[in-house]
Amino acid sequence: MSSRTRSSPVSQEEPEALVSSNRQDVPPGWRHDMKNQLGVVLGFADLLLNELEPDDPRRADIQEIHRAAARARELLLELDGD
Amino acid sequence: MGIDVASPEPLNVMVVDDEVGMRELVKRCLADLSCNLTVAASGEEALALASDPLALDLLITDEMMTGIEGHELARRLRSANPSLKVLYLTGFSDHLFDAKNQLWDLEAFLDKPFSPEGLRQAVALLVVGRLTL
Repeated sequence: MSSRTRSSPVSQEEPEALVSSNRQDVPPGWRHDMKNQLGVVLGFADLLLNELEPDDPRRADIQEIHRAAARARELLLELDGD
Repeated sequence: MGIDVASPEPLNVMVVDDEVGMRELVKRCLADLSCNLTVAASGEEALALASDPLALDLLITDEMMTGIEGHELARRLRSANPSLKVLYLTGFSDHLFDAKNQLWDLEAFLDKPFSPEGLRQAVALLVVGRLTL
């Protein structure tokens, strides 16, 4: 949690072509909506992983869901240049 | 997570998010806490449901919503209940700080995506000043 301070986004260089070809094509609000959806997937996967017994055979499947959603979020952040 | 022994009364918490999945996630994360949850899909619905703002202990709200945004919702509810605690959930904290230069007393924000434990800890910090209720 953060409080009372404004965090600075981490700058990250990205190819100019990637910026122009992707950002301009993204509708307003798309990144916000995508972050929300990935946040829901990650959050529920976290809840399930916390609730399953360590040897539950479904754990590996949920870990794959979590891993893929986390990677998708990383890709989104790369697109943002965050 | 147990009940706060120092505050045996259940917390009255309002959860506001225009994304149904996010509302359900917050509800699930707080299910084990001693809370009376009121859930709204917009700032307008939240204001309509908050017939007695003084009865609210905590507002958990998305910042970027169509219509009344989170910071404006918080401002209106806190004008009626200055002791209302506010936790902003936001994927873009810059948007929140464009709207208000700094958070007021009893306010905090949590970046999306958040972990269930992260949300519980943020709520506990705001409500009782420690990481667990």
